[in-house]
Amino acid sequence: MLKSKSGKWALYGDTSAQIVVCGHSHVDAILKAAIIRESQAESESAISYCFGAYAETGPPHGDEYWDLVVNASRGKHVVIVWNGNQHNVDFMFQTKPKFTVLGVTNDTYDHEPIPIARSMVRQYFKPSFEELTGIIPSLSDAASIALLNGPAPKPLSYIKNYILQEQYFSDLTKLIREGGEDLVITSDSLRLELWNVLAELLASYAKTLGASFINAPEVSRDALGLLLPEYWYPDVTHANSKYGMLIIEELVKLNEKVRN
Amino acid sequence: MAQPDNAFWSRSVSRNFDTDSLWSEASQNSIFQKDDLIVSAGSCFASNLIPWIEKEGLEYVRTEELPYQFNNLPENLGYRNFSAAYGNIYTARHLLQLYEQALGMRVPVEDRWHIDGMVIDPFRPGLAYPAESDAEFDLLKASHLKAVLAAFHKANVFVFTLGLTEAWQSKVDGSVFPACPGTISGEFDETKHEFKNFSVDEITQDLTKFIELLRESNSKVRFIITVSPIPLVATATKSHVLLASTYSKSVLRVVAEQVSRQLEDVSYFPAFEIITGPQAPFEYFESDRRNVSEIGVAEVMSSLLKGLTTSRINALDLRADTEQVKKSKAGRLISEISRRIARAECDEVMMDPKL
Repeated sequence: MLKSKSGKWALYGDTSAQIVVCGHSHVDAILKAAIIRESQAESESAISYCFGAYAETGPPHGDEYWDLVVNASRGKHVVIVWNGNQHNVDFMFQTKPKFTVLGVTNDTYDHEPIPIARSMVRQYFKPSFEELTGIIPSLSDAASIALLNGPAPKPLSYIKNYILQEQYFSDLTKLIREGGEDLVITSDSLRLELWNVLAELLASYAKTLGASFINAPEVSRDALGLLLPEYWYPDVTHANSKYGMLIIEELVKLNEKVRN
Repeated sequence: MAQPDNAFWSRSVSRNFDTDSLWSEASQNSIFQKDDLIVSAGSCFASNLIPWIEKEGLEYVRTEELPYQFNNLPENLGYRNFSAAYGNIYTARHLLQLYEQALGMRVPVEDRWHIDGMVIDPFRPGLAYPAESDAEFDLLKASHLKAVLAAFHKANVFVFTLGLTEAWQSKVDGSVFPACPGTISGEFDETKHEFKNFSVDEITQDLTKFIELLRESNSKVRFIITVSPIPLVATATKSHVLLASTYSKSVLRVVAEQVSRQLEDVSYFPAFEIITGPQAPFEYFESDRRNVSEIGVAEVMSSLLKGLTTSRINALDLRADTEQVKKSKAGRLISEISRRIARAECDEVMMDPKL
């Protein structure tokens, strides 16, 4: 197993695989799916994964992680799962004044929310993509680079059961309550539209930096655009290994297309 | 009847000048109360008021605030300094037309510009985050006008700073733009746009009409009128900018006098005289002799607040407190706004590309 300098990060799977998947926490769903595939011996491994070597390492980050990705990606097709949680991290709870963006359809707030320009939302999210402008050029020896969007948001009816079980949201909840604000989880429609803005931004960065963009599979989403129940991991933000399987299938198809 | 000392230049200006004496005792007791809801509009100078009155615990009405996540994003031209995000309003005609739009009485013919995939508001051309579609423009504009209406109707004190007589307007329907189309955004089209230098009568009528119209919905509102002491950054007339500026400020000063004499509960606050009068220290302007210095702003605000609060704020204490204030968060904001007031805060500054 190829490891980073301190051993904190590792490359999983077949080191000769043509596709290297790396990036933030949503890689976990793909990694879990890969482990299942391998245990079922369904196919040879076409994909390798850069992730934490131990459970304690947390989500991938830092120069050491990206150095490992650079080493593992020479001549390979690199798929970067980039963030994908910004809409959850920063907009899980409605603030005062409540706000909306064009495209949000079913808000049912007591007071009419103020509209925020999508260009302003885009500006807000931009810093969370800036690191890509350093990472992608460093992968110049890769055969190709694709940026993969995270899964669509899960509905309020589901995430409300998990929100207080997660340290980050639990702490945030306390802060909001101490500030005397009402604790209102943002509507599905608003989180979905913010996620759409993130997808637009990721696609735009991909285009600018000479990478391709892969969005969340359409089949993973319901009629509103939310993540379908069969792909829910039991937490607020992530998808499960079944979703990871969908992504692997997409990537394998992509690999075959490249081979042919 | 013997005139008081302040009727004599030698006794009240040459010697013993006291800024606060420019206010009559009657005025000092009639404007701000501790529970007032204050709205301001006008040229850049009007936004200077805000951190000072908030520091004194007076309430500045804000009806178009952003959720905290968006508060620190860079913004242009100080749109959000004001009660609603209308930015600088240099002319009384612009103020009147804004209110008429908010009331639904007026729909400008040239209500948007499509530029590079964005939809620009000609009346807020420097907004950093414009709409990306007509549908989004309609949504954002309707929300803005609603916020304008809410602010104007909530106010019981309305501070308006008259800034300019010169403006650019639509030839089609007379809509006044805050800047010449093409300077901040848009494109100048001589078949659609024209220069206008408003007269005393026109500005008096516009300001009077605005006050009367607002009082139809908000009968309790009192007005403080000021004239910006900041000279024109440029003139579109054939005059030297100094002559054009003197003319412009003279017209505005006459309007302020006339309207405050003619209408009830309209007061004139002499910010213009405090900064530009012959008694004013050299240091009230910065080295470009256009931008008002921090000390000049502090003098105006100290006088305004001393004269108008029921707690009779001591201007000397306030001034002595300046260094302390500057170290605080509010103080840094005051310093920053004081500094920015004369720089890129103003749409007007965009008239001079060398600034």
